[in-house]
Amino acid sequence: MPERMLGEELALHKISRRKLLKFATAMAASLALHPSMAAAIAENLAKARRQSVIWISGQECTGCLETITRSASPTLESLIFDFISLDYQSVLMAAAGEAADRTLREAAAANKGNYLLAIDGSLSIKDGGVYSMTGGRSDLQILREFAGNAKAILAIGTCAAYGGIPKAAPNPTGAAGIEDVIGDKPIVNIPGCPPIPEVLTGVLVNFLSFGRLPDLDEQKRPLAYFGTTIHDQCYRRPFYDQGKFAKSFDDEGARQGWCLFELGCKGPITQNACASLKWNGGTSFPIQSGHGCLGCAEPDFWDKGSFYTSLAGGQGPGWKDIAIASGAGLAAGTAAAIAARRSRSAIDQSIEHERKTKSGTET
Amino acid sequence: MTTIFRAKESIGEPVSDGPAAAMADALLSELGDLLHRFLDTGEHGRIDLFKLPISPTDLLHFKDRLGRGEVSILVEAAGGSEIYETAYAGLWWVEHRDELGRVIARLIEVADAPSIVLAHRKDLEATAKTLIRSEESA
Amino acid sequence: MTLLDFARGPALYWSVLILIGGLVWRLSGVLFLPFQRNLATPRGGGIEPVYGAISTIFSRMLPHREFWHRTAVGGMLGYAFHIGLLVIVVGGAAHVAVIKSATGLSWTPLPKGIIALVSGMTFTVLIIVLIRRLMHPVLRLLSNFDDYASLVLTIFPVLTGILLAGETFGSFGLLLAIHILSVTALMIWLPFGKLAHTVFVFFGRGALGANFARKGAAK
Repeated sequence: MPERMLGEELALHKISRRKLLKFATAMAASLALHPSMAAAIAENLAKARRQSVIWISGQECTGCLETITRSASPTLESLIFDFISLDYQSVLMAAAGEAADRTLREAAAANKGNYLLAIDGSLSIKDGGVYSMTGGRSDLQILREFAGNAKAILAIGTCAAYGGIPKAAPNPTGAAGIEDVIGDKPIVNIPGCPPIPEVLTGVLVNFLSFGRLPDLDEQKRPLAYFGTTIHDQCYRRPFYDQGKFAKSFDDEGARQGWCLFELGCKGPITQNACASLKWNGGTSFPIQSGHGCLGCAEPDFWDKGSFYTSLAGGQGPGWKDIAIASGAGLAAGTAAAIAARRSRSAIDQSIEHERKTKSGTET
Repeated sequence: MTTIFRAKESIGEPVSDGPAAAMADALLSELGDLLHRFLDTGEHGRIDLFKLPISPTDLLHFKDRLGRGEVSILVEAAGGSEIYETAYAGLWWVEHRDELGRVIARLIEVADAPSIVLAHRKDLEATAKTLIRSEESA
Repeated sequence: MTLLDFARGPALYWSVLILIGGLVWRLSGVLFLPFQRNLATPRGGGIEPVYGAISTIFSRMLPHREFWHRTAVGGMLGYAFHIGLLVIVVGGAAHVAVIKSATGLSWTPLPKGIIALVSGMTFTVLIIVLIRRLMHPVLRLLSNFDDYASLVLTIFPVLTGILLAGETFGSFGLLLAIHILSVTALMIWLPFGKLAHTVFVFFGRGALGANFARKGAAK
């Protein structure tokens, strides 16, 4: 049976051309493409075949999946689920146990070399990965098995991209990001804790429309979404430039919406689209709600000290450590002074001795 | 990256123009170029307003400056889309919303009519086929 | 661990400890030395040594009138960058934030524009001082590693601070890391070279003043 083009399939599902064009227009803006590209995106999506996506999980909290599914429905965003065939997703699918395992193997085999492998959650590497296992096999083994025949890998969320929360010190399970394990497949990192759902949609639309992954930076993140820092897009930037900072969460500055730099905002060192795309369909983002950026799309953001210590500060020594250092300095200084005194009195004594012996010989 | 945000706007106070007027002038100038291109080649022009670094107040000022023309179109496709011709012929304000009413795209299209309004040729052909078939069977 | 994590973490931690421990070491090493027994009769005219000590700390802030002509340039340059550094460190909003997180003390910082002007002035003066030291025949003859290192390690925090505050190039994180590291380098060197004059100047002048008071020559 000839495979139907998406366009015909969409028509069957009552997705009109105008709906598709509207979706494509939104996607062009999201991907920072010229709005005239919308027509090309719509046309290519209509001509495309339904893309197989296999979604496996490591050590995850399911937040990334939640953010994508909750945000998508019931809006136009959910259209993306018409363009992909989510052939395996352990939380969403009805099957469980061995039936689920079978589904995974069959889907991978049927789409060999063509499926996109989406992963959320970090990989446990330590001790052969025994700390994260599914169906008697470690997630590490499962990843290696299915990464080989994937067209590309989408590391969804900071855990999959860089290790995330499970990797926080002391990292008992040996958590790592996908790129630490897989080196021979194109990987797209979509970090964030959770990531902005529009980013995944954008990556998929780019892939379906143009047959390739979007331009990535050195950390393999899509440039269209991770090309600038939160700081550079933040609407509170004028307050930063004017030196108007909130000093506590309930002072006048906070009420006026002043910059949250001194309350620990990590916006200047975090690259993500939160300040422009925002969350929940453009409703708000942490800074707009009055809390500083946590830097959740950056590697090791859990191990960078307190969320409330500003970038201008750091982890300096406490008073106890300073007292110990002063004590050590005092001890060293006293020892040096005593040594100096000793050698001084030794010199005095030898002068005295010389004087006595001299006068002794004279008499 | 420089933005034209200004402190007062962020807390909802009205602001007299300066940089806002300059941005509006620049946009109108670009729209003029796009209109010339449309007249010469028939190619639709578009300027995205959604990701433009323009504050909500400045955007409203620009919208007022463009004014309203004689045509208003409502497109209902996965949510409503507000489309109208501005006071400048050929410059159309196109704002797409999803089913929950949230704006997902905002642009100005330069053409005789926005492309989303016109029926697509393939749809016309499909409808024509259907109509002829029903005629024949009648 | 990124460069910024290192700068805000171990580098900051150890440099503060080395600074404080080092200064305590040097101070106590000098203060616990015995005073040489002075066998001469005190001729103070009634002025206690301690008052002599304190007044000398202030009287030495300006050279004797006879020397103003020769020391004017050096003196003004010195005062310019010392005051500039003080204004930047105590008045800059980011520095007030650091001090607040370290000690809990805080005050209203100066406006960003003023700090920018003062930083520019301070940096220019420091560069002039460095060039003068390199070109003046006597200074060049006298200068050693300590002299140049102390100057350069003072210039770098000012320069990197200007680059950071202006968000001039590259990433904010990199500029911030370099600025913090330049300050930690200064802190590590400070107790061990002539920069230790930050504490010694008071003790040095004080000891001199006390001695002179005893001799009746205090000012």
